[in-house]
Amino acid sequence: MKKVFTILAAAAAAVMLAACAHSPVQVVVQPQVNVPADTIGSGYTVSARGVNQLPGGGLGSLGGIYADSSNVRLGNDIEQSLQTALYQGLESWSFRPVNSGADVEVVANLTDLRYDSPNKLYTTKVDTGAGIQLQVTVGGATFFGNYATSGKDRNLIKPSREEVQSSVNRLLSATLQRAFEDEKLKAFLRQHL
Amino acid sequence: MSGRVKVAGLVSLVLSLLLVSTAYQVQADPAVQLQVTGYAREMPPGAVMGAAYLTLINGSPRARRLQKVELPDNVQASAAMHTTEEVDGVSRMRPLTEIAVAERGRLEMRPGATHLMLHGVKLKAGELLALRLVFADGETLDLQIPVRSAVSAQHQHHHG
Repeated sequence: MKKVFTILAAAAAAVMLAACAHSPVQVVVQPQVNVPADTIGSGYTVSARGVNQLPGGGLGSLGGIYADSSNVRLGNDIEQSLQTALYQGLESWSFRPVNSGADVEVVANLTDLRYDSPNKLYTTKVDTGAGIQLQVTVGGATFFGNYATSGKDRNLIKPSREEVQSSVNRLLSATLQRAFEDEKLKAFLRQHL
Repeated sequence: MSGRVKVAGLVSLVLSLLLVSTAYQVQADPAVQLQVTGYAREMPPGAVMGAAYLTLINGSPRARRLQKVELPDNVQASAAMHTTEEVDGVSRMRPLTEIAVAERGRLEMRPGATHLMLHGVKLKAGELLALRLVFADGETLDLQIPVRSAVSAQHQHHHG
């Protein structure tokens, strides 16, 4: 019996140590959108870009008592990834991408992206969120749409890099997807194109 | 129940707590949309003040309060929000500290009503004027509006 408790105590200590000393992880963020085909942009050109407006220092903490507040970091060019996802959706709407002088200009400002755990001994809950301010300009008319998604997760052990990356990508994809499902945005395009 | 079975149950519980995390939940916050269209009027030679008219369509479930309009491309210039009131048969301009756009509401600026007065600018037809809208919640939105000649601006007013 004493032996079993010794093993249990050792296991608990190992878990605590793992929670205390999380090393930084770099996540590759590549949002994806799934946009049904539409002829809304047929015959029109579009230019799109992503802008990283996140405050510096990372996406958040993996938790643990010694956790740094910025030990979840971006491992790729998020502006490029956002642009790729935007074109993915806009091409489904039949727009033709061009670099300049486009009929429609689309800018996605990334205003929030976080994966954060409280700095406690055990990591029990994870606060995640993504926010995008989309700006669509057609001639002298501008559409602004703010889309935000938040997530709740629970982890009792240190999440793997893949888990963190999957959560962040899922959130950002869901946020961008909402923009492409926004009927007001489509109505704005139909009105001004 | 024997001590061995109790310990096995305890070990099983601890392991399941450690290995299983609850389902991940994603929750979408209400989208906040705003459409802005508008134009500025070309200024005749020698004029010291210009005017611009915006239409704001608030597609959000909450009201928006426009508190300031800036001209980000010209630090010497400024924009002031005004409305025109008729008192005893005389039209007077009155500065506004705030313009509210109701939830899912619309505000249309036009000559003789709410408008923007522009100081320190020279506006020529065909140019674009950059504006920055500053809202009470701290959000700022940058946009550009076309500068129209007096004739096309009048056309816009009657038919736009």
